[in-house]
Amino acid sequence: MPQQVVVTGLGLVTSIGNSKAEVIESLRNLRHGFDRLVFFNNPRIPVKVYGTIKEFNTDSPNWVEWKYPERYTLDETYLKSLSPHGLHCLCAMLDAIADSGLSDEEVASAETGLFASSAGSTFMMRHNLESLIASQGMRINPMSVVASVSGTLNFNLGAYFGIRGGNCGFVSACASSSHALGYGYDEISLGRHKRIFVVGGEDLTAETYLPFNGMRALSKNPDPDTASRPFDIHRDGFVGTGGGVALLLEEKEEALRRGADIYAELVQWGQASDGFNIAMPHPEGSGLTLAMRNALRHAGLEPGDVDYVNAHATSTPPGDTSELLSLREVFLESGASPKISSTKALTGHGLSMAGVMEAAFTVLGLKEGFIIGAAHLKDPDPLCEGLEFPLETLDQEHRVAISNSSGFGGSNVCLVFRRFPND
Amino acid sequence: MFDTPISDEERERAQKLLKGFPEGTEEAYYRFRETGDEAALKKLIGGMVGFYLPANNPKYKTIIGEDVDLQALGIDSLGMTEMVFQVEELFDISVADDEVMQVKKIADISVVLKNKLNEGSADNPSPS
Repeated sequence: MPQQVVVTGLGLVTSIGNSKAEVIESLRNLRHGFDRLVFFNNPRIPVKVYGTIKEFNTDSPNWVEWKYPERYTLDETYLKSLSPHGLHCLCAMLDAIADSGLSDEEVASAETGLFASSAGSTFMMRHNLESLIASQGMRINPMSVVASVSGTLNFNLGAYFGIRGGNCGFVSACASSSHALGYGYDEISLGRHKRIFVVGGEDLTAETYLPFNGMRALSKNPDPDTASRPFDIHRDGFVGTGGGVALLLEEKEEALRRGADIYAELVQWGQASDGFNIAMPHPEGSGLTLAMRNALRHAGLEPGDVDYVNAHATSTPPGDTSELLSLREVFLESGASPKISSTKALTGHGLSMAGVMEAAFTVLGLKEGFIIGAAHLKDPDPLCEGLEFPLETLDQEHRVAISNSSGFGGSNVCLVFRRFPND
Repeated sequence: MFDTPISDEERERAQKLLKGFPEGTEEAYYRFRETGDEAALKKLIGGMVGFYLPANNPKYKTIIGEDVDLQALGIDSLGMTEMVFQVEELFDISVADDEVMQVKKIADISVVLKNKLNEGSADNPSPS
């Protein structure tokens, strides 16, 4: 008999808040986290708006110069091997542990794992390579590898918290931390772990985001109030964001035994790929359609059972079109009409972090009884016709919510959450 | 090295490299660079060792004044590697693995460093 999996801890360092209370307030009031930023001190860069992280300053590659909220007591031994997003994820992980009520011994138990996702830190890599280049290959900071390569979160957080269960990373671009959640579900469901921390993060730096401008994927809209507008006909690209999110998945009986506060159940998940293009989504969203259908089938649910869809939609013209076509096929064709929104309208797109951040928002909505509105959707794309996009956050108890993620290479994941207790 | 004032560029680089080190470490570096003063070198090395101790070591971020065994003091191999890198960056030298292996006590670092500085820098490129 597969074990049931529930969410019992959250830690959030995001553009819309660095605590659960702040994030809930932002989601309820559709308050975005965007500001104008100038990289390289060059105002000619056409990308102006980013989802910024407040209370932290990680502009320097030297950890000694970093600023973080005084409420965190961090072991400095570990800061020197972190990247900016590593610091955010460390703080998020500390908050998730405190939120879960787990003891240090339970966190470091052989039955607790850590699944993490980030693209690594090109910012740290660049700065470390500068000394390698300047010395003509003679020397480089010994921490350069563990602070910058993909896997940096696993190395650092695994050591910091004494993780003894599985410790591995997931790399599927913007679906990465959704894959981490899915495989975390599998590990617990199969009885291999009692709990898995799923962590996602990204640096908000020129080195992370401006390469996407080379792909013409970023919004050039200079107005923080409208730059990210998923599903709007005037959308012109995504808005980048950084930060870190940690979410604790736990076996249900274990969570009940220790009296944990349960956010929601992760009922099942599904994945499928487009098999189409390196970076462009399938024009009709074929992989995402299959991922949603797989997820619902595994969960034993019908499209009509879904009350809310946290869409992947990043505010790019082709990506949102693909997802709209996919949503139409899955829901409209079966006569279902879940409420739909993309919270990237508020946060921006956090790449590898997006999946776990949006899963966190989805379970907060299930627990607190609200459905997040579709912010900044003034002139809906004609393909929105017939689909339901609430323009304000609704105070509404709901039972089933799904969260979609899609990444480069046409990788798609759909996670199915259910209110807990399931009545 | 010891008879010329430090340029603004060198000072700026040292400030960057020694930011957050125990108070007095940076000044000790300038004094050693400008005068070759042994006491300043000892203070510089003591400050660097203190910075690279684990944060839970009671002597973390203090200037280690005495010539103690580094392992007994509590510096781990990664901390040692970081410190050697920082010395290399600061003086634009390259320290070989066998030279690092010779270092057991704090005073050994000064010996290796002075040897490297006396060797000249034929195989070390200037910082760009």
